[in-house]
Amino acid sequence: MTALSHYEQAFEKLPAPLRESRRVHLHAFLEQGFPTTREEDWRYTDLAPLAALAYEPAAAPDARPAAALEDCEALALANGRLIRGDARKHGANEAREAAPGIPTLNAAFASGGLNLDIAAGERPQPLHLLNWLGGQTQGMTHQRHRIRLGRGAQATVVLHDHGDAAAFFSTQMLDIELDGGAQLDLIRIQDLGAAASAITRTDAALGRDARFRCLSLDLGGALVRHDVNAALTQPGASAELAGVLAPSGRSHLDLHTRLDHRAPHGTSRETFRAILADRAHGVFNGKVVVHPGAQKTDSEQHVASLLLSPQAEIDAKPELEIYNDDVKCAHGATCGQLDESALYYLRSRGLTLETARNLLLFTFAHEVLGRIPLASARRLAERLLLARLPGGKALEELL
Amino acid sequence: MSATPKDLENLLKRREYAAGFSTDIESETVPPGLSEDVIRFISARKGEPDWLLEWRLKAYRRWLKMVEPRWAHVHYPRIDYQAISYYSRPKSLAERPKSLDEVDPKLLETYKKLGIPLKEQERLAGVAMDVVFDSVSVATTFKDTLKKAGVIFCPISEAIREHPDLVRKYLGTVVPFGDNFYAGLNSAVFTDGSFVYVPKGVRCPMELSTYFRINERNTGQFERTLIVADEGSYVSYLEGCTAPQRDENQLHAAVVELVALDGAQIKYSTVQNWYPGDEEGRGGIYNFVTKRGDCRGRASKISWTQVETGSAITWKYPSCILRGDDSVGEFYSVAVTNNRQQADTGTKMIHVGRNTRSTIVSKGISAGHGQQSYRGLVRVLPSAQNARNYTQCDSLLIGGSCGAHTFPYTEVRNPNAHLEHEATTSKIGEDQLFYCRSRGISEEDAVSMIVNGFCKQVFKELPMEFAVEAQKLLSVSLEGAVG
Amino acid sequence: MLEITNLHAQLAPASLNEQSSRGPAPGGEGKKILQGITLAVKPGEVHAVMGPNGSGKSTLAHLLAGREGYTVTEGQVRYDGKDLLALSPEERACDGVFLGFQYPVEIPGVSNLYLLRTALNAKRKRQGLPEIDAMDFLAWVKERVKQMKMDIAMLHRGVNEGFSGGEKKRNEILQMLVLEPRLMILDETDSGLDIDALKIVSEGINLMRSPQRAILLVTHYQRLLDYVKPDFVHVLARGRIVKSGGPELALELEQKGYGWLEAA
Ligand SMILES: Nc1ncnc2c1ncn2[C@@H]1O[C@H](COP(=O)(O)OP(=O)(O)O)[C@@H](O)[C@H]1O
Ligand SMILES: [Mg+2]
Repeated sequence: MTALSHYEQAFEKLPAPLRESRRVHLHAFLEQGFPTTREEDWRYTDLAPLAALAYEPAAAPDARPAAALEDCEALALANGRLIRGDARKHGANEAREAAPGIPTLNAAFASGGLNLDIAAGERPQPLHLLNWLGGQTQGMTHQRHRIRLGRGAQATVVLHDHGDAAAFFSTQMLDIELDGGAQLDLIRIQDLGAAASAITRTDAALGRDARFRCLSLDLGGALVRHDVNAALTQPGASAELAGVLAPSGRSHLDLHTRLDHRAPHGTSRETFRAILADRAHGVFNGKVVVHPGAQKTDSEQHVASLLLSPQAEIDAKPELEIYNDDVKCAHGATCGQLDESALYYLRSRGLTLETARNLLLFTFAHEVLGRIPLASARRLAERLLLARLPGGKALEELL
Repeated sequence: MSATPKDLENLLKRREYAAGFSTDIESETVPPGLSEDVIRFISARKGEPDWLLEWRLKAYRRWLKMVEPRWAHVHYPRIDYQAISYYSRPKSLAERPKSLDEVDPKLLETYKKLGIPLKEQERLAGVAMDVVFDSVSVATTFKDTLKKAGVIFCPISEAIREHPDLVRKYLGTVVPFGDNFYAGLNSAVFTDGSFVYVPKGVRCPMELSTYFRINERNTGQFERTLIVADEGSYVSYLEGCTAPQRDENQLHAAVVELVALDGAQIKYSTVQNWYPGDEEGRGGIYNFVTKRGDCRGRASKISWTQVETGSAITWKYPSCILRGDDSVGEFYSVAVTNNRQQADTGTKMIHVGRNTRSTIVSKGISAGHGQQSYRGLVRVLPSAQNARNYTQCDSLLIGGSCGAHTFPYTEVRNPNAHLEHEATTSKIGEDQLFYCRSRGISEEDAVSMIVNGFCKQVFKELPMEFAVEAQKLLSVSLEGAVG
Repeated sequence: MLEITNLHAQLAPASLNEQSSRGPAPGGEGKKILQGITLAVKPGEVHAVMGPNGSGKSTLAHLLAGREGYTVTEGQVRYDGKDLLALSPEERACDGVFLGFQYPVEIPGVSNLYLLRTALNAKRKRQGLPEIDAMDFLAWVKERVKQMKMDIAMLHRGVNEGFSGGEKKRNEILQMLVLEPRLMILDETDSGLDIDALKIVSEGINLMRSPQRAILLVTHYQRLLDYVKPDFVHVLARGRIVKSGGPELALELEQKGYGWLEAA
């Protein structure tokens, strides 16, 4: 493993009070360093190239955040600093404890992120977090976000990561707590530059009858890893994770999900679609754990992949760990070509093979993106995806 | 009233190990421990050529540098490899018997209890057996018929003497000694096993069968099996395993290598009924086995079928390397874990050649405190144009304290690949049970029926004689699954 | 217009056909399905093709539309004097060949309207015409939706997505009306229709009858032929045309079944 001394040096530049409370995290990180491919969870994602570079905390950037979605409250950040929006929803969140590995790095350096507290029963306007990252080659930013919904509250949050062409490194940790009956729609759109590396992790804890929905579009980057974890800690909770992975170029994109059913009558659904172009390498690992006592768990997971090029690669692993007999769990994974009969049908109506292919490719992704409940966010996701698909321009009128 | 989980558990407890007795024969056993001297002793005892001793020693030196894998979803105390005796054979067999009549009657008695009356085999036309008792083959039948067909079927130690070129050409080419920890250990110390060679264009005239049995206390059994099917040939091989009841754990680290050349087909079936340990998890076999087939030739086919009901711990992934264009790999598995049994089993299908196809059907049944994992890998390399895989992997849960886990890995690097994986986990259907009972079928029979139905897809891949045995074994394993 | 001469076809070996991974089911490779079909269709004519299940009617229809997964081992097909089998499915469609599928395919996410416009423009492009004006197109389509007594809202739903069997068949005829093909092959378009729907579908077909166009009707029932009068009726059995005749042959079949012909 490479020397991590520059993280040590960077840490010394933090304000003294921060240093004091966070030194434990730094030490924990330095002790273990970056995870390696010998660890099962990192088997397909090699962080060595990332670990080899000396990233510096990013200075004030020349940020150009994207336009806000029309029907949302906007909060714009640039490398963690607030540049537009309600300052009460922004803050540096301290980690009480951090899981080993990247979370300790994040905990040591975390600067400002979203801090959203929604009181019981409230239903605020959807929030669009324009999270701009970049501006500096070998710059880095670490953010910690928190979303808390009180009993029966309902919210929609669009987490929209974007940036420029800089070889930038960011980590983001997102803690979500849903009280009884609360409902959160989290829409995660990740549209970073091809040189950007990002590691994010979401941990959601679901209370009684709470509902968590996370819909995502991930377009990749130099090295991108997302972990989305949800724990159904109380009876009757439900989680739905769905997303599209569409890396291209030389992108490496790794999505790990983990659903922990810890209480009876939980429901979980996962649907993912991966489209891999060029030399992209995609990884999907979906784990469902049904703990003892989580009777009547109902869980389904589906992942389907399409490779568009002979140099692309997908590694998919849908896992089930079940310690209880009264469950109904299923998962499916496919990898293959577009539906031949649909292709033929379209061609028999006069569409060229290429048009028919692109069309089916889009609908392949659309089966998931179409579920994004907020129309403006759905259109944004579809537009971003089309921009990356072969022949996508021609299909824009479909929207 | 339908069966409660408690009832199921109670009935499961009543299952006893029918093969639990031990034969009283004086053995010649080396003291426990492993060293280069022990390996030299084994090799000398077997009168092996130098190249094989060298190979064993290389394997041993490599093994010393390897670490025991811990990634499997199983838990057991560390094994002390110096506490195991690596060579044991019944004394009365110091000289190999010329015919069945010379075999120690006690041994034959043992097999009778296991339900394989050796004497009657010749009447059971079509089954030739090479029986391994601890480490030495005791009898081989039907040699004549096979000889006429040109098929070689003998203990591997004999093959090393009689057909050294064939053995040397293929041994370790599918599972090299550096492959994994247990394969390394096996390569260093293997004592016996079977060797099969089917010449070009020959369809082996009968099913070949071996019964393995671990008898001696504290002896690990390290058999090595090598099957080579030459161009256009066909062979079906059956392997059955049983071990007597013991308190302590015994290690079984076998290696099986299959080689199929152009157009050849190998069908390898296993019914594994090693001692699983008692209700509290005392004793039982550690079954850490490396089985791999190499579809080396075009349009070759290797098919694995396994019914795994025994062993305390199973760690086993019969695999296929689909190297030849148009080659086909299959894996059909039924695994049962009951009481404290743990199994981490599955397969690997490595697609290398064009138009290669693989099918995986895995049925897991977990009861009591059993923990069972399916672990499978389907890898499609860039060269494997038009590769196809279909995987189906279902688990049935009986009782609230068991576990069923699925870890399927798919790695695809070719855009023309077509993979489909489906997995389900559920408990035995209460409405199915009720339906059967409302038609007058006892709960026990209903469970047996439902479980057999659940496994049907796999059983129909077994040769007739084995399918019947497998079904019986399953019923015994789950005897009284409801009460 | 269409000349089929001594056509023999079998299922293509799956592994050798890169495209057909979803085509013929494994195991049927090399199975002979068509065993010498000869049939000439002139402009203005309506031909009915009848025959027992599995006799090869759909296979013939798919071969004419260009589905992969079949190998033609003998014979030829000429369309307007050109070698039809050499064209891709989309070239055939743009040149005026239309297949109404026995089992229309569902394509979720692609709207019916989008499919129709793209298909129509593809055809115009091949004819050297500019893209159709959006307003004109909408009017054109809506009129036909009304003719088929369908709900305008269906245009915005996915192609055949969640349609009932009858709705799918009507949708096939709608596409035909919009695209105005010259050779129409309708594979059991009448199966699964109730009486009212059968009338609507038949009216749709009759709208397309003209001296320049020809129709090949694959059907099992006389009731469709009551509405769409055929000029010729052919009976296909075991991959061959075993009998041809006028409309009266269909009536005879209705009474006697296929047995007497198959035995021959
Ligand atoms: N893709 C296919 N795979 C396997 N068999 C097929 C396929 N297509 C047609 N067949 C077989 O060819 C024969 C003719 O089928 P088809 O043309 O559909 O008959 P029809 O439409 O007259 O009922 C049947 O026996 C059918 O099973
Ligand atoms: Mg048909």
